[in-house]
Amino acid sequence: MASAGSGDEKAAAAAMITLISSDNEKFEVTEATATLSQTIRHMIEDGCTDGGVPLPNVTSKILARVIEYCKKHATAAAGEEGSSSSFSDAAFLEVDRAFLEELEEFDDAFLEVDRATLFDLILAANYLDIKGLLNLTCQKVADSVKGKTPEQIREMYNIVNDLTPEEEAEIRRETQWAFE
Amino acid sequence: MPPPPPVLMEELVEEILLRVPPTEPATLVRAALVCRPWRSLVSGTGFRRQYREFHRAPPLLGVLCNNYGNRRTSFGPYLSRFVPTSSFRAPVCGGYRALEARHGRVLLRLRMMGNSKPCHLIVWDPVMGEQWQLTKEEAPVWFEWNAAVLCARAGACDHLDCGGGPFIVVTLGMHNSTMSLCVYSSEDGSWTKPAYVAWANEYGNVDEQPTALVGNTLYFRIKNGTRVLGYDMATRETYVVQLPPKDDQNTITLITVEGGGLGVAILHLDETAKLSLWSMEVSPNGDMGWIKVSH
Repeated sequence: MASAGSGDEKAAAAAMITLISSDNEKFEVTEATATLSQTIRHMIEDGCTDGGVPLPNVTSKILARVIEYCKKHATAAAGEEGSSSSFSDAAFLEVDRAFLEELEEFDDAFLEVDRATLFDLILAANYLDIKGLLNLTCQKVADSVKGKTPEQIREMYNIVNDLTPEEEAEIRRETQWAFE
Repeated sequence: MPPPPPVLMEELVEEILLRVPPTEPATLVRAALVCRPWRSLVSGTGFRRQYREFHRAPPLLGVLCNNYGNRRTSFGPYLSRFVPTSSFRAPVCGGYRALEARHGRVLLRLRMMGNSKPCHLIVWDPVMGEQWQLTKEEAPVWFEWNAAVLCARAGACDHLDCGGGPFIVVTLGMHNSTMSLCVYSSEDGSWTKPAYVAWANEYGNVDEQPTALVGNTLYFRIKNGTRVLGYDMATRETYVVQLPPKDDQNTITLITVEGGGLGVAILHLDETAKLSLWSMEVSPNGDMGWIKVSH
Protein backbone atom coordinates (compact mmCIF):
# COMPACT_ATOMS: atom_id res chain seq x y z
CA MET A 1 0.00 0.00 0.00
CA ALA A 2 2.82 2.36 0.91
CA SER A 3 4.46 2.09 -2.51
CA ALA A 4 1.13 2.62 -4.28
CA GLY A 5 0.56 5.76 -2.18
CA SER A 6 3.94 7.27 -3.01
CA GLY A 7 3.35 6.46 -6.70
CA ASP A 8 0.12 8.47 -6.61
CA GLU A 9 1.91 11.37 -4.99
CA LYS A 10 4.54 11.33 -7.72
CA ALA A 11 1.84 11.31 -10.37
CA ALA A 12 0.12 14.26 -8.66
CA ALA A 13 3.39 16.21 -8.43
CA ALA A 14 4.05 15.68 -12.12
CA ALA A 15 0.53 16.67 -13.25
CA MET A 16 0.60 19.87 -15.28
CA ILE A 17 -1.94 22.69 -15.27
CA THR A 18 -2.33 25.36 -17.91
CA LEU A 19 -2.98 28.92 -16.72
CA ILE A 20 -4.31 31.48 -19.21
CA SER A 21 -3.67 35.19 -18.61
CA SER A 22 -6.09 38.02 -19.48
CA ASP A 23 -4.09 38.67 -22.70
CA ASN A 24 -4.48 35.01 -23.63
CA GLU A 25 -0.93 33.82 -22.94
CA LYS A 26 -0.65 30.19 -21.75
CA PHE A 27 1.60 29.08 -18.86
CA GLU A 28 2.29 25.41 -18.09
CA VAL A 29 2.95 24.81 -14.40
CA THR A 30 3.08 21.77 -12.11
CA GLU A 31 0.12 21.15 -9.86
CA ALA A 32 2.40 21.65 -6.83
CA THR A 33 3.19 25.18 -8.05
CA ALA A 34 -0.40 26.01 -9.02
CA THR A 35 -1.93 24.83 -5.73
CA LEU A 36 -0.12 27.51 -3.76
CA SER A 37 -3.14 29.44 -5.01
CA GLN A 38 -6.20 28.39 -2.97
CA THR A 39 -8.41 29.59 -5.82
CA ILE A 40 -6.76 27.18 -8.30
CA ARG A 41 -6.61 24.40 -5.66
CA HIS A 42 -10.41 24.55 -5.35
CA MET A 43 -10.79 24.51 -9.13
CA ILE A 44 -8.61 21.37 -9.33
CA GLU A 45 -10.62 19.74 -6.55
CA ASP A 46 -13.82 20.54 -8.44
CA GLY A 47 -12.30 19.10 -11.63
CA CYS A 48 -12.68 22.26 -13.70
CA THR A 49 -9.14 22.72 -15.00
CA ASP A 50 -9.41 20.76 -18.26
CA GLY A 51 -8.55 22.98 -21.21
CA GLY A 52 -6.70 25.44 -18.95
CA VAL A 53 -7.62 27.87 -16.19
CA PRO A 54 -8.60 31.30 -17.50
CA LEU A 55 -7.46 34.15 -15.22
CA PRO A 56 -9.21 37.23 -16.69
CA ASN A 57 -7.96 39.51 -13.89
CA VAL A 58 -4.23 38.81 -14.32
CA THR A 59 -2.03 40.02 -17.19
CA SER A 60 0.76 37.81 -18.61
CA LYS A 61 3.39 40.17 -17.18
CA ILE A 62 2.02 39.79 -13.62
CA LEU A 63 1.17 36.10 -14.00
CA ALA A 64 4.77 35.34 -14.99
CA ARG A 65 5.96 37.02 -11.76
CA VAL A 66 3.35 35.19 -9.67
CA ILE A 67 4.42 31.84 -11.15
CA GLU A 68 8.05 32.68 -10.45
CA TYR A 69 7.10 33.22 -6.79
CA CYS A 70 5.00 30.04 -6.60
CA LYS A 71 7.70 27.85 -8.17
CA LYS A 72 10.26 28.98 -5.61
CA HIS A 73 7.92 28.62 -2.66
CA ALA A 74 6.47 25.29 -3.80
CA THR A 75 10.01 23.87 -3.72
CA ALA A 76 10.40 25.32 -0.23
CA ALA A 77 7.15 23.71 0.95
CA ALA A 78 8.21 20.31 -0.44
CA GLY A 79 11.60 20.65 1.29
CA GLU A 80 9.94 21.40 4.64
CA GLU A 81 7.75 18.30 4.46
CA GLY A 82 10.78 16.12 3.74
CA SER A 83 12.81 17.53 6.60
CA SER A 84 10.13 17.12 9.24
CA SER A 85 9.43 13.49 8.37
CA SER A 86 12.86 11.91 8.14
CA PHE A 87 15.72 14.26 9.04
CA SER A 88 16.56 15.98 12.24
CA ASP A 89 20.35 15.99 12.48
CA ALA A 90 22.35 19.19 12.70
CA ALA A 91 23.78 18.90 9.19
CA PHE A 92 20.32 18.81 7.69
CA LEU A 93 19.16 21.76 9.79
CA GLU A 94 22.17 23.66 8.46
CA VAL A 95 21.04 22.97 4.89
CA ASP A 96 17.52 24.01 5.91
CA ARG A 97 18.74 27.33 7.29
CA ALA A 98 20.76 28.02 4.16
CA PHE A 99 17.66 27.33 2.08
CA LEU A 100 15.53 29.67 4.20
CA GLU A 101 18.13 32.40 3.82
CA GLU A 102 18.10 31.86 0.07
CA LEU A 103 14.30 32.10 0.12
CA GLU A 104 14.49 35.37 2.03
CA GLU A 105 16.95 36.75 -0.50
CA PHE A 106 14.62 35.65 -3.28
CA ASP A 107 11.69 37.47 -1.60
CA ASP A 108 13.73 40.66 -1.17
CA ALA A 109 14.78 40.64 -4.82
CA PHE A 110 11.22 39.76 -5.88
CA LEU A 111 9.94 42.95 -4.21
CA GLU A 112 12.32 45.18 -6.19
CA VAL A 113 9.54 46.40 -8.48
CA ASP A 114 7.83 49.72 -9.15
CA ARG A 115 4.72 50.67 -7.20
CA ALA A 116 2.29 49.89 -10.02
CA THR A 117 3.66 46.34 -10.35
CA LEU A 118 3.58 45.91 -6.57
CA PHE A 119 -0.11 46.86 -6.50
CA ASP A 120 -0.88 44.53 -9.42
CA LEU A 121 0.88 41.73 -7.52
CA ILE A 122 -1.25 42.46 -4.44
CA LEU A 123 -4.44 42.34 -6.54
CA ALA A 124 -3.32 39.06 -8.18
CA ALA A 125 -2.30 37.51 -4.81
CA ASN A 126 -5.69 38.47 -3.42
CA TYR A 127 -7.63 37.14 -6.45
CA LEU A 128 -5.64 33.90 -6.58
CA ASP A 129 -5.66 33.64 -2.78
CA ILE A 130 -1.92 33.06 -2.30
CA LYS A 131 -1.40 33.84 1.38
CA GLY A 132 2.39 34.05 1.37
CA LEU A 133 2.50 36.42 -1.61
CA LEU A 134 -0.28 38.61 -0.21
CA ASN A 135 1.56 38.83 3.09
CA LEU A 136 4.87 39.65 1.44
CA THR A 137 3.54 42.38 -0.85
CA CYS A 138 1.20 43.99 1.72
CA GLN A 139 4.02 44.06 4.28
CA LYS A 140 6.17 45.90 1.75
CA VAL A 141 3.52 48.61 1.36
CA ALA A 142 2.92 48.76 5.15
CA ASP A 143 6.66 49.30 5.68
CA SER A 144 6.64 52.08 3.10
CA VAL A 145 4.04 54.17 5.00
CA LYS A 146 6.05 53.98 8.24
CA GLY A 147 7.10 57.43 9.37
CA LYS A 148 5.30 59.17 6.46
CA THR A 149 2.95 62.13 6.83
CA PRO A 150 -0.65 61.80 5.56
CA GLU A 151 0.28 64.13 2.65
CA GLN A 152 3.18 61.88 1.65
CA ILE A 153 1.00 58.75 1.83
CA ARG A 154 -1.65 60.38 -0.40
CA GLU A 155 0.97 61.36 -2.93
CA MET A 156 2.63 57.91 -2.93
CA TYR A 157 -0.61 56.04 -3.46
CA ASN A 158 -2.59 58.47 -5.59
CA ILE A 159 -5.29 59.02 -2.94
CA VAL A 160 -7.67 61.99 -2.97
CA ASN A 161 -8.17 63.65 0.40
CA ASP A 162 -11.93 63.90 0.97
CA LEU A 163 -11.72 64.93 4.64
CA THR A 164 -12.95 68.45 5.41
CA PRO A 165 -10.46 70.82 7.12
CA GLU A 166 -12.66 70.57 10.25
CA GLU A 167 -12.49 66.76 10.28
CA GLU A 168 -8.73 66.89 9.80
CA ALA A 169 -8.33 69.40 12.61
CA GLU A 170 -10.41 67.21 14.91
CA ILE A 171 -8.26 64.12 14.34
CA ARG A 172 -5.08 66.15 14.83
CA ARG A 173 -6.42 67.65 18.05
CA GLU A 174 -7.40 64.25 19.49
CA THR A 175 -4.14 62.56 18.58
CA GLN A 176 -1.60 65.34 18.62
CA TRP A 177 1.11 62.95 19.85
CA ALA A 178 1.11 61.06 16.58
CA PHE A 179 2.20 64.16 14.67
CA GLU A 180 5.10 65.26 16.88
CA MET B 1 7.17 60.29 -15.81
CA PRO B 2 5.95 56.89 -14.56
CA PRO B 3 2.18 56.36 -14.66
CA PRO B 4 0.37 56.84 -11.33
CA PRO B 5 -0.11 53.60 -9.35
CA PRO B 6 -3.52 51.91 -9.65
CA VAL B 7 -6.02 52.60 -6.90
CA LEU B 8 -6.16 49.87 -4.26
CA MET B 9 -9.42 48.18 -3.38
CA GLU B 10 -10.56 48.99 0.15
CA GLU B 11 -10.24 45.43 1.44
CA LEU B 12 -6.61 45.50 0.38
CA VAL B 13 -5.97 48.76 2.20
CA GLU B 14 -7.10 46.83 5.27
CA GLU B 15 -4.62 44.02 4.50
CA ILE B 16 -1.84 46.61 4.28
CA LEU B 17 -2.69 48.62 7.41
CA LEU B 18 -3.05 45.38 9.42
CA ARG B 19 0.66 44.88 8.80
CA VAL B 20 1.78 48.15 10.40
CA PRO B 21 3.87 46.85 13.32
CA PRO B 22 2.49 47.30 16.89
CA THR B 23 5.65 49.26 17.73
CA GLU B 24 4.51 52.00 15.28
CA PRO B 25 1.17 53.21 16.70
CA ALA B 26 1.62 56.74 15.29
CA THR B 27 1.61 55.32 11.74
CA LEU B 28 -1.92 53.99 12.25
CA VAL B 29 -3.11 57.36 13.56
CA ARG B 30 -1.56 59.21 10.61
CA ALA B 31 -3.21 56.72 8.23
CA ALA B 32 -6.57 57.90 9.60
CA LEU B 33 -5.81 61.35 8.18
CA VAL B 34 -5.24 60.15 4.62
CA CYS B 35 -8.90 60.11 3.54
CA ARG B 36 -12.38 59.23 4.81
CA PRO B 37 -12.34 55.50 3.87
CA TRP B 38 -8.98 55.06 5.65
CA ARG B 39 -10.28 56.97 8.68
CA SER B 40 -13.38 54.81 9.06
CA LEU B 41 -11.27 51.72 8.46
CA VAL B 42 -8.67 52.26 11.22
CA SER B 43 -11.16 53.60 13.75
CA GLY B 44 -13.62 50.71 13.30
CA THR B 45 -13.99 47.93 15.87
CA GLY B 46 -13.61 45.31 13.11
CA PHE B 47 -10.13 46.58 12.32
CA ARG B 48 -9.11 46.63 15.99
CA ARG B 49 -10.20 43.01 16.36
CA GLN B 50 -8.37 41.94 13.20
CA TYR B 51 -5.26 43.83 14.24
CA ARG B 52 -5.21 42.01 17.59
CA GLU B 53 -5.77 38.65 15.87
CA PHE B 54 -3.01 39.34 13.37
CA HIS B 55 -0.33 40.54 15.81
CA ARG B 56 -1.59 38.83 18.99
CA ALA B 57 -0.64 42.11 20.70
CA PRO B 58 -2.12 45.61 20.77
CA PRO B 59 -0.06 48.61 19.58
CA LEU B 60 2.58 49.46 22.19
CA LEU B 61 2.27 53.06 23.41
CA GLY B 62 4.53 52.80 26.44
CA VAL B 63 5.08 51.08 29.77
CA LEU B 64 3.70 51.98 33.21
CA CYS B 65 6.40 51.58 35.81
CA ASN B 66 5.69 51.54 39.55
CA ASN B 67 8.31 52.92 41.89
CA TYR B 68 8.69 50.52 44.82
CA GLY B 69 11.92 52.11 46.03
CA ASN B 70 12.57 53.41 49.52
CA ARG B 71 14.06 56.67 48.36
CA ARG B 72 12.19 59.60 46.94
CA THR B 73 12.62 60.04 43.23
CA SER B 74 11.46 62.88 41.03
CA PHE B 75 8.07 61.22 40.63
CA GLY B 76 7.62 60.34 44.31
CA PRO B 77 7.49 57.10 46.29
CA TYR B 78 4.92 54.44 45.40
CA LEU B 79 3.79 56.33 42.31
CA SER B 80 3.64 55.34 38.67
CA ARG B 81 5.64 56.76 35.85
CA PHE B 82 4.74 56.40 32.19
CA VAL B 83 7.75 55.38 30.12
CA PRO B 84 6.81 56.08 26.48
CA THR B 85 7.98 53.82 23.68
CA SER B 86 6.42 56.08 21.02
CA SER B 87 5.62 59.80 20.88
CA PHE B 88 2.42 59.02 22.84
CA ARG B 89 2.21 60.72 26.26
CA ALA B 90 -0.01 59.56 29.11
CA PRO B 91 -2.70 62.06 30.11
CA VAL B 92 -2.90 60.72 33.70
CA CYS B 93 -0.39 59.44 36.24
CA GLY B 94 0.58 62.39 38.43
CA GLY B 95 -0.11 61.24 41.99
CA TYR B 96 -1.36 57.85 40.86
CA ARG B 97 -0.12 54.33 41.22
CA ALA B 98 -0.98 51.61 38.70
CA LEU B 99 -2.68 48.67 40.42
CA GLU B 100 -2.93 46.51 37.31
CA ALA B 101 -4.01 46.33 33.67
CA ARG B 102 -6.35 43.86 31.99
CA HIS B 103 -8.48 43.64 28.84
CA GLY B 104 -7.02 46.91 27.48
CA ARG B 105 -7.78 48.91 30.62
CA VAL B 106 -5.42 50.24 33.27
CA LEU B 107 -6.52 50.64 36.91
CA LEU B 108 -4.90 53.57 38.72
CA ARG B 109 -5.23 54.49 42.39
CA LEU B 110 -4.82 58.00 43.79
CA ARG B 111 -1.90 58.10 46.23
CA MET B 112 -1.86 61.71 47.41
CA MET B 113 -0.75 62.48 50.92
CA GLY B 114 -3.62 63.60 53.15
CA ASN B 115 -6.18 62.41 50.68
CA SER B 116 -9.49 62.07 52.49
CA LYS B 117 -11.30 60.13 49.82
CA PRO B 118 -11.49 56.51 50.90
CA CYS B 119 -11.23 55.03 47.44
CA HIS B 120 -10.32 57.02 44.40
CA LEU B 121 -9.72 54.98 41.27
CA ILE B 122 -9.29 55.76 37.60
CA VAL B 123 -9.98 53.26 34.86
CA TRP B 124 -8.00 54.31 31.80
CA ASP B 125 -8.29 52.91 28.30
CA PRO B 126 -5.20 54.27 26.51
CA VAL B 127 -6.19 53.03 23.05
CA MET B 128 -9.72 54.47 23.20
CA GLY B 129 -8.33 57.57 24.96
CA GLU B 130 -10.99 57.36 27.68
CA GLN B 131 -10.92 57.69 31.46
CA TRP B 132 -13.48 56.94 34.14
CA GLN B 133 -13.17 58.32 37.66
CA LEU B 134 -14.64 56.11 40.36
CA THR B 135 -15.03 57.62 43.78
CA LYS B 136 -16.42 55.34 46.39
CA GLU B 137 -17.85 58.07 48.62
CA GLU B 138 -20.55 55.94 50.17
CA ALA B 139 -18.19 53.15 51.21
CA PRO B 140 -16.70 52.92 54.69
CA VAL B 141 -13.07 53.95 55.10
CA TRP B 142 -11.00 50.96 54.14
CA PHE B 143 -7.51 50.73 55.56
CA GLU B 144 -6.04 48.17 53.27
CA TRP B 145 -7.54 47.31 49.97
CA ASN B 146 -6.82 46.20 46.49
CA ALA B 147 -8.81 46.32 43.26
CA ALA B 148 -9.07 44.61 39.89
CA VAL B 149 -10.52 45.77 36.55
CA LEU B 150 -12.01 43.47 33.94
CA CYS B 151 -14.33 43.42 30.96
CA ALA B 152 -17.92 43.02 32.19
CA ARG B 153 -18.57 40.29 29.64
CA ALA B 154 -15.72 38.24 31.23
CA GLY B 155 -16.09 34.71 29.85
CA ALA B 156 -18.36 35.64 26.92
CA CYS B 157 -15.74 37.91 25.28
CA ASP B 158 -12.35 37.22 23.71
CA HIS B 159 -11.24 40.79 24.61
CA LEU B 160 -9.91 41.61 21.16
CA ASP B 161 -12.13 44.66 20.70
CA CYS B 162 -13.98 45.23 24.00
CA GLY B 163 -12.32 48.62 24.58
CA GLY B 164 -15.01 51.23 25.20
CA GLY B 165 -17.37 48.44 26.34
CA PRO B 166 -18.70 47.81 29.85
CA PHE B 167 -16.26 46.91 32.63
CA ILE B 168 -16.36 46.00 36.31
CA VAL B 169 -14.00 46.86 39.14
CA VAL B 170 -13.79 44.46 42.08
CA THR B 171 -12.36 45.81 45.35
CA LEU B 172 -11.33 43.71 48.35
CA GLY B 173 -10.65 45.58 51.59
CA MET B 174 -10.61 45.63 55.40
CA HIS B 175 -13.08 47.59 57.52
CA ASN B 176 -13.99 47.24 61.19
CA SER B 177 -12.17 43.91 61.51
CA THR B 178 -13.90 42.35 58.53
CA MET B 179 -12.77 41.67 55.00
CA SER B 180 -15.38 42.70 52.40
CA LEU B 181 -15.83 42.79 48.63
CA CYS B 182 -17.43 45.57 46.55
CA VAL B 183 -18.11 45.53 42.82
CA TYR B 184 -18.48 48.58 40.57
CA SER B 185 -20.33 48.15 37.30
CA SER B 186 -19.82 50.75 34.56
CA GLU B 187 -23.22 49.82 33.12
CA ASP B 188 -25.00 50.66 36.39
CA GLY B 189 -22.56 53.43 37.29
CA SER B 190 -22.67 52.33 40.93
CA TRP B 191 -21.06 50.11 43.56
CA THR B 192 -22.65 47.11 45.22
CA LYS B 193 -22.95 47.10 49.03
CA PRO B 194 -19.86 45.59 50.70
CA ALA B 195 -20.28 41.81 50.93
CA TYR B 196 -18.77 40.13 53.98
CA VAL B 197 -15.92 37.74 53.21
CA ALA B 198 -14.27 36.87 56.53
CA TRP B 199 -13.11 38.16 59.89
CA ALA B 200 -9.84 40.02 59.59
CA ASN B 201 -7.88 37.72 61.87
CA GLU B 202 -8.99 34.74 59.82
CA TYR B 203 -7.37 35.75 56.53
CA GLY B 204 -5.11 38.65 57.54
CA ASN B 205 -4.45 41.74 55.45
CA VAL B 206 -5.08 42.47 51.76
CA ASP B 207 -1.91 42.99 49.68
CA GLU B 208 -1.82 45.77 47.08
CA GLN B 209 -0.58 43.51 44.29
CA PRO B 210 -1.89 42.65 40.81
CA THR B 211 -4.68 40.09 40.75
CA ALA B 212 -5.00 37.09 38.41
CA LEU B 213 -8.11 36.07 36.46
CA VAL B 214 -8.60 32.38 35.73
CA GLY B 215 -11.91 31.56 34.05
CA ASN B 216 -14.56 33.18 36.22
CA THR B 217 -12.40 33.34 39.33
CA LEU B 218 -10.49 36.43 40.38
CA TYR B 219 -7.51 35.80 42.68
CA PHE B 220 -6.24 38.35 45.22
CA ARG B 221 -2.96 38.02 47.07
CA ILE B 222 -3.50 38.35 50.84
CA LYS B 223 -1.68 37.98 54.19
CA ASN B 224 1.71 39.31 53.01
CA GLY B 225 1.96 36.93 50.10
CA THR B 226 1.29 33.74 52.04
CA ARG B 227 -2.31 33.13 50.88
CA VAL B 228 -4.46 33.69 47.82
CA LEU B 229 -8.18 34.47 47.95
CA GLY B 230 -10.27 33.25 45.03
CA TYR B 231 -13.56 35.01 44.24
CA ASP B 232 -15.86 33.12 41.90
CA MET B 233 -17.76 35.86 40.10
CA ALA B 234 -20.53 33.51 38.94
CA THR B 235 -21.38 31.96 42.35
CA ARG B 236 -19.97 34.90 44.42
CA GLU B 237 -18.24 32.39 46.68
CA THR B 238 -14.76 32.94 48.07
CA TYR B 239 -12.08 30.51 49.22
CA VAL B 240 -8.50 30.75 50.41
CA VAL B 241 -5.48 28.69 49.37
CA GLN B 242 -1.99 28.69 50.88
CA LEU B 243 0.74 29.96 48.54
CA PRO B 244 4.11 28.19 48.07
CA PRO B 245 6.55 28.98 50.90
CA LYS B 246 8.82 31.99 50.52
CA ASP B 247 11.08 33.95 52.82
CA ASP B 248 11.15 37.69 53.41
CA GLN B 249 13.79 38.20 50.75
CA ASN B 250 11.42 37.10 47.97
CA THR B 251 8.51 38.74 46.21
CA ILE B 252 5.58 36.67 45.02
CA THR B 253 3.28 37.64 42.13
CA LEU B 254 0.10 35.94 40.92
CA ILE B 255 0.17 34.98 37.25
CA THR B 256 -1.72 32.78 34.82
CA VAL B 257 0.34 29.87 33.55
CA GLU B 258 0.36 28.24 30.12
CA GLY B 259 -2.88 26.35 29.76
CA GLY B 260 -4.72 29.08 31.66
CA GLY B 261 -4.42 27.93 35.30
CA LEU B 262 -3.34 29.95 38.32
CA GLY B 263 0.38 30.26 38.97
CA VAL B 264 2.81 32.32 40.97
CA ALA B 265 6.18 33.79 40.11
CA ILE B 266 8.64 34.08 43.00
CA LEU B 267 11.53 36.47 42.53
CA HIS B 268 14.46 35.88 44.88
CA LEU B 269 15.76 39.31 45.81
CA ASP B 270 19.18 38.02 46.86
CA GLU B 271 22.34 37.90 44.77
CA THR B 272 20.99 34.88 42.82
CA ALA B 273 18.04 36.94 41.48
CA LYS B 274 16.35 33.64 40.65
CA LEU B 275 12.80 33.49 39.30
CA SER B 276 10.77 30.36 40.06
CA LEU B 277 7.35 29.58 38.61
CA TRP B 278 4.71 27.47 40.33
CA SER B 279 1.42 26.13 39.05
CA MET B 280 -1.64 25.38 41.20
CA GLU B 281 -2.89 21.82 40.77
CA VAL B 282 -6.02 20.19 42.13
CA SER B 283 -5.54 16.60 43.35
CA PRO B 284 -8.20 13.92 42.66
CA ASN B 285 -9.58 14.34 46.19
CA GLY B 286 -10.05 18.10 45.61
CA ASP B 287 -7.03 19.35 47.59
CA MET B 288 -5.14 22.24 46.05
CA GLY B 289 -1.36 22.19 45.91
CA TRP B 290 1.55 23.77 44.06
CA ILE B 291 3.93 22.25 41.54
CA LYS B 292 7.19 23.98 40.67
CA VAL B 293 7.30 24.32 36.87
CA SER B 294 10.63 26.14 36.49
CA HIS B 295 13.36 27.91 38.44
